[in-house]
Amino acid sequence: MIFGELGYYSLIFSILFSILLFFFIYQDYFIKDNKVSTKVYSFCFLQFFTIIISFFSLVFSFLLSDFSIVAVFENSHSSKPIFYKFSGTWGNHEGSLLLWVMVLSSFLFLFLLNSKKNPKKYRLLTIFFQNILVVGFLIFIIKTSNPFEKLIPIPKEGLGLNPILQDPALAIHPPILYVGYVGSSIIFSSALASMIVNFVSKIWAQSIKIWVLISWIFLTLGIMLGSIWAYYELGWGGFWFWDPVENVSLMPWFALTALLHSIIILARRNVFQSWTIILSIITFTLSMNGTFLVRSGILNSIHTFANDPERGIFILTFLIFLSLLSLVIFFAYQPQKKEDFFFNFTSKEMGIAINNWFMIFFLSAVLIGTIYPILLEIINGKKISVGPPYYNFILAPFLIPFLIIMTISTKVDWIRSNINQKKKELLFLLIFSFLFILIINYYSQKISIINLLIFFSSLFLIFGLSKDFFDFFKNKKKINLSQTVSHFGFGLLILSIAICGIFSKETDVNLKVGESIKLDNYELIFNDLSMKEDKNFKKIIGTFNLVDINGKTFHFSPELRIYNQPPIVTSEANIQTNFFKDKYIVMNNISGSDYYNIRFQEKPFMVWIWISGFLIGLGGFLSIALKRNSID
Amino acid sequence: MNLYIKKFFILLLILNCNLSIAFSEELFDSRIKKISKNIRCIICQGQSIDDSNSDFALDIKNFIKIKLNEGLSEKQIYELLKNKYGEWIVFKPELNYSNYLLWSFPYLIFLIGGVYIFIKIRRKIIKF
Amino acid sequence: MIKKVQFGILFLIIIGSFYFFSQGLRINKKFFPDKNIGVELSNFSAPSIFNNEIMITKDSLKNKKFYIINIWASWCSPCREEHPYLMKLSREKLLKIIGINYKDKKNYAIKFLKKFGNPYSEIGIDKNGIVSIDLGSHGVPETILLSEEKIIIAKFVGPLNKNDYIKIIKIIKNNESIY
Repeated sequence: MIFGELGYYSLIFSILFSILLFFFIYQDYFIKDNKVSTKVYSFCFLQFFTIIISFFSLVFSFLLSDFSIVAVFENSHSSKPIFYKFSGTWGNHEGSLLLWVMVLSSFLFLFLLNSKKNPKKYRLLTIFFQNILVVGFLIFIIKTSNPFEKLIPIPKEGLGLNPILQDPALAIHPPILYVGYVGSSIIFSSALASMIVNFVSKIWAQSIKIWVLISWIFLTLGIMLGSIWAYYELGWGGFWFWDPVENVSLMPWFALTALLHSIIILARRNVFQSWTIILSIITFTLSMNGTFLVRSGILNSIHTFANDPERGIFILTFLIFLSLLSLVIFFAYQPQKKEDFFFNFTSKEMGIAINNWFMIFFLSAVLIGTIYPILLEIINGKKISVGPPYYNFILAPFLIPFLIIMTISTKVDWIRSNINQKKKELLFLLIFSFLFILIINYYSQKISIINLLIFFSSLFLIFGLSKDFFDFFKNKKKINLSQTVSHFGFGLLILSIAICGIFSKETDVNLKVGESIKLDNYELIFNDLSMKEDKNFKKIIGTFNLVDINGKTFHFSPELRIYNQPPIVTSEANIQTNFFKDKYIVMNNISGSDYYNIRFQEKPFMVWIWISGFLIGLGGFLSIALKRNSID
Repeated sequence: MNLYIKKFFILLLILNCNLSIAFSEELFDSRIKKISKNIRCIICQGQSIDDSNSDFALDIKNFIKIKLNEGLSEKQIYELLKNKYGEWIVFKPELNYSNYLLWSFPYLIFLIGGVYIFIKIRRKIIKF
Repeated sequence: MIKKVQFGILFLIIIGSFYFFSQGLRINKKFFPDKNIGVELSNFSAPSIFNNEIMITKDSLKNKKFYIINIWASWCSPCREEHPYLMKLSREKLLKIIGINYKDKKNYAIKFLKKFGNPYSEIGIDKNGIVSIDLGSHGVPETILLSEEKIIIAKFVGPLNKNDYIKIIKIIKNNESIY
């Protein structure tokens, strides 16, 4: 069909336009006026337009099930529901790269349109560097990952999309995540540009801040969606596994969060200039590094994409090139130090410095944990696993001081603070939180000291900020609403994860139809087994009754789904959520018998993990929405 | 007044610590679970033995059960499995010479970061 | 001056990472570690399928130059695929093949062998998977090739294919070992 040709040639044209764009940028750079030339505008638009056409050509190829295209053949099927045909576009390596480059190009064009107040040379240079990224990826796509590769003879039917990927949360997870990852690209380009024209200052930070916010919000939401999908879809009741692909999205998040805080300072006064630039470069480098790790075959993970060394070498080379470029520019054009840098020990600036310090620590732990197995295997062929025990051991204790300092920092002022005034309030909060953990400890006596302290510090933060909310709503006291919401969300996140992790209960039983078993506070009855046919799978539904001590009955129906395209059996858990806990039942057939292995989990406070994640993002959103009213 | 408050808190703390001492008896099942969570299902790409329902995972769970019944300690079971399948079957990396970089790197970074901030701030605070 | 040093260090780190990761790409990404190659087989014990009282153990591997332990089951379709190769191998005079019947029903297993042929000199039953774990295996089918001294020469995870068969024959014929 025509879309394959259209898509492919649009890509070729976009490369052409992008190369011409370089030329026009160069030409316009030396024209001494304040306006970016219309030629530059036009070619930015043409680049953007042709990439959009290419992307939507792929979308239509999927929607129309055009199996003459390899990507569609390998990843789709005519019986797939339309929504998943659509999301199948980016559910594969080639399509996801096309999505990636589309977001890159969109940000380039959007930046051009929204930066009119900034100096011309800075704008041109930012677009210049961003264009390098676009061209690099376009060439990568054409050379190694062409989404429009043809298949002859044209097969009648496709191979189907992995059924685990047919889930609404997972369908929108990549676009959202990519806006996060790729959003950091414009910050990267802008950082390099601002160094060259000596624009690293308060004004630059103010103009770039919104891009940091957008990137950060989407990255936060993207990561959340991935976890939500894992929890509801994967059937183990977990939502974070320290899997390399997950880690690879978390690392830029740490850097981006640190950057967000630094840029807030730099937007007010000229401090942390070099450090903010470094963070800008690191964040995008980590995003790119992530791309490399999951697409090159160097990692073994539950959701690596293509395992192709040729692609790996290309991305690696490109990544090294960008790193060297940044290094050279940084040392050649060191940001000038016109700093009004002085602040007291007890100040917001200090709090943010400490935030950055901890963020880099968390980042380095996840980085070394992810990369170390690779390094070790290269050096001496030894294979080791670095899993949750490592990350929990390293990260958990540091969360305690982190949360406490976070609370104090939100309550102190910029530059300097008289801590004595705050002492009373903080002491009260301390005592209140302490009493709380005494109660928790009395209720459940098996909690370790570290976990108790985590409860303590997260409660400290939550109570501290609740008081701020209270002041805001009742006494109309002015607070930074977006900051309070996000930080409150973070405290709630840690608290929910701690509660869920410590107080979860899990039981494994093997049952046949008709059997029942007594669990701690429940009786589980395996009522019935039935089989139904659905759109592209058969399902075996188990119906269960869960009766609690009060006699109340809950009905569960976990499923086993047997797909034929491709032939996979998946287990769909039945999760019943309320604000206090999730009840989770999943069943698996024991091969060669009538018995089913039933796993029943009680996960307290589970839904609050998602709520707090969204609160964190909401705070960022509020920051943009309320921008006109507060000066942060 | 302040002194009484302090004493009260110390008392509470001591009381609490006594209650906090974890009961050393753990249920047999939870021991299996604990070990299972730390063993990797090596045909499953990332899952732990506890999470997986594959034949291999069920076999290993059974193996752990039998070995616990034989009186082996947690450590011995890990050693046994590592001998058969390699070090990577255990999720928590060992604390040995070849892993020293893994375990020390984050703390090194933290230290360097701390020192850097300290030096910078000190200079400025003196000025201030 | 100090700037130059900093630049130099960072430059080296970047170039070093490039080297490392490009090396990493070349490593064979086989998922299963060859942990026990060159190591002596650990002991195992499985009741014989024909007589519960008799135990098949490491000592059952005797009187030949090479041994194969093959883990199989009647319900496992890849096992059916590889069976012809095992039949061919069973004709090798220097080789003794022992089967470990994994989580199977005795009569199904015997029916399977009656239908497709029996390449095994002896067969042990692994009712609950423990024997396989003792052997360090990952599932069915799996084939372990051992030397006269009962040292593991090769492990084949998954069904034997033509290349694996050829490899085994080569080793036996040339009396050569990999290590």
